[in-house]
Amino acid sequence: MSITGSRWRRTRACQAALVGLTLAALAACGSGSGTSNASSSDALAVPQPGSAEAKTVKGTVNWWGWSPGVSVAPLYVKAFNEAYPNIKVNFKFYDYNQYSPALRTGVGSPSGPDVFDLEPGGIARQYGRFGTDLTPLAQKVLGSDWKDKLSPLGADAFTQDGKLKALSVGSGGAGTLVINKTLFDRWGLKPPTTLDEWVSTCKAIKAKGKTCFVHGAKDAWVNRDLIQAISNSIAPGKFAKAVQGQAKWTDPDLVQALSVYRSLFGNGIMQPGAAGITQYNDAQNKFMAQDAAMIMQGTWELGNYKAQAQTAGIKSAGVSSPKPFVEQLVPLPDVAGKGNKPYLFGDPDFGLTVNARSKNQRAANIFVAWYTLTKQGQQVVADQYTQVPSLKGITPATQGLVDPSVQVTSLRNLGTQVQNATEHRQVAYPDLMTAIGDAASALASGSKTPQAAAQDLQTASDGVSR
Amino acid sequence: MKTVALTRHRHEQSTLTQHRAGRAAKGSAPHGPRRNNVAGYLYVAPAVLVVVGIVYFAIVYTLRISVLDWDGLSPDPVAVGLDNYVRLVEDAVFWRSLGHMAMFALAVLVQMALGLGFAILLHSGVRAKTLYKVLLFLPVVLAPAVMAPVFRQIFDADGELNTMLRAVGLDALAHPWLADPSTALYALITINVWQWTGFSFVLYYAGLTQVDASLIEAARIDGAGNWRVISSLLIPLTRGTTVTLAILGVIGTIKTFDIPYLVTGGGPARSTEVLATYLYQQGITDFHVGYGAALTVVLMIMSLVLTVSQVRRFKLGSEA
Repeated sequence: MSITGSRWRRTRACQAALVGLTLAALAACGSGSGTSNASSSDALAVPQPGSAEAKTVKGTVNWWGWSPGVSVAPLYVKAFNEAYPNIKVNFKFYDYNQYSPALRTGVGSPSGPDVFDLEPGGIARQYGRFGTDLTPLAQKVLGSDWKDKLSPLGADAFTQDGKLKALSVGSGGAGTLVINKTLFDRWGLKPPTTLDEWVSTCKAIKAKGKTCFVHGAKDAWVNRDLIQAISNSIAPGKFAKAVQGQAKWTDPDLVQALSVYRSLFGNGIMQPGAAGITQYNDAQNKFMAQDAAMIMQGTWELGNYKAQAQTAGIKSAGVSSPKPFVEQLVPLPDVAGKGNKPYLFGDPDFGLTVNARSKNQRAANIFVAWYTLTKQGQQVVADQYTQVPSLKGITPATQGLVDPSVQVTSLRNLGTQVQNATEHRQVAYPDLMTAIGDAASALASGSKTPQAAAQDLQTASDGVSR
Repeated sequence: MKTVALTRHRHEQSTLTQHRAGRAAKGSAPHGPRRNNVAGYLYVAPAVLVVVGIVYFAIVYTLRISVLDWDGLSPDPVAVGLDNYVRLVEDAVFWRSLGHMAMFALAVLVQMALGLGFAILLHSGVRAKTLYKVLLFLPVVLAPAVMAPVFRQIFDADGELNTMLRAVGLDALAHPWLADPSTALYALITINVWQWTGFSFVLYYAGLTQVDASLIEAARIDGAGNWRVISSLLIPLTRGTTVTLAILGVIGTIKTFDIPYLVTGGGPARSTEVLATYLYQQGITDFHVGYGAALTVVLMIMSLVLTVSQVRRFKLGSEA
């Protein structure tokens, strides 16, 4: 059978198309150098926010991160565009647990981010190498004494080999509980200050048909916070020392901390099935829906002091007619009766870095500088309450709070504590972080004793190269 | 003359026909063999590029990095020979994950039995068959990311399962299913069976459609009951479907990742860890890319061995 005429031409056209598609696919695989064309002095030309030059500078910034979240990021972008109307910012949100895998493949790719979040600890250690040194940017915007103008936690957390790999947006502190003060007041309860009070408070709350303390023990990070907070109430600072290899995990104080943590799952404080639910959003939704009266969260929860933000959170929890309630952050009870004053431990919640392969260096630098080094950007950070701003001298506005009579004082006290915090929260060593998570999970399920869990932690710690 | 011309014409036609037949027998295209081969190569080129360029390259690359101590990002990986494989043999979590995978594999039998049962039922005189088919197949097409928080809620201490158990007086069975290491794996297996039974059902339903109804009629006339018809007729006659499902089920078990990862994260206390979640944690979360690659190589070898042995076994069985 012969192929003639139009059918022959169609066949040849199909073959040519297939070859073309294959070649195009191969070209796409190998394309992209990822390096910026702008000279470094051009890239650092950051016009003052709102100036005439700021209104003319153009560019596009692709920003990847898990924070500040899908609902809050547009606020920052909008505020940024008031100062720099012609720089387009596209925020790509990743769930925290998916962020590192996404960054691993994206950070070196031509379609990767221009700006990306870095978390102190493992993520900063691994991915900081892909960011530019932001010291010149900080010097350009704040002057040679830039370090004195920023919170010390931030520069310390993101400096690697003498280079500033990210600029902190703001810091958060952990070691607090969040109570539903509306329910507490309704039932005549006070925040517990000892372990026994915590147990009796929980009995009272359960008698009212609510969960006392909801905890997403499936998530290793929140267990780590709880164990560190318990440790600090027993022996302040020893947990952080053990992370750095300066104390043994088998130290009796730390074994006691693990033991107290384990006891929470059996003495009526922790809700049944805690190890099967996540902190976000399973546990948080129960708290926001007012099914639970207490949860462990840090100062990032302060955002829910604002009625608008909290209402959105309650609605996300599935409540059809959301009505704000008063949240209040309170110290963790003195669970071991040692009488140590509770304190916050923290880190920059996240920092922003500029991808060294970005083709939009100038626009990226402008965005990062506005967000982290200018009063305008940092005021937006402060006013969200979820982080304490990195730039000193910024105080948050206090409009829109659910109950200003309680929450203004709380907000200011906690902000001061975070600004003065010196103990780090993030564990910089992935193996040790995994081991702490495994130990917490084993203790929660009762499959290991505190002594055995402590030994596992020591073994993991011994294998870490510091 | 006319006769001669006609004969010659017929001879020419016959010769031409023979010539064409000969060329056809040789398999040659009317425009030449070389052009036809080139066209064929061009058609398969994209698929070959994908398979060779991505799949086989990835396999070789994984083998290469499995002998490195590397975080996947630094420019200076360290060659460590077979250390990653030695570590793997001594790794208790690795062996535990294999045990969990074996449990998932056994659950494939449950999926197949349920799928066959539903297929037989729906081949009977049941009303609203289409609705049942949709309901059975729906879990197969639901995304695990959508199902995971739903099942965490269902299996929660205050979840719907426990509420139902308490409602029917089975309070003693109410349990935080996903928070207890002794029950979490079974909860995940239940989710897996729920998700994939529909797939078995669809294949068995199609297989039963091929069964000659006269065989069943003859068996009935001979006095065969339901169970005899199923065991002596339907099961043997759907052997091909069973083999296919067994092979796919084993491969699927080895690759199991989404449900353990999304629902329990491999916990509590590693009680639901499977090889895929473990190698993900090692390679991605903990930045032990070399060790993760070694685990991947083991997973690949397991898949190959099990698949090849099943295929050969069932082929040999049918030939006998």
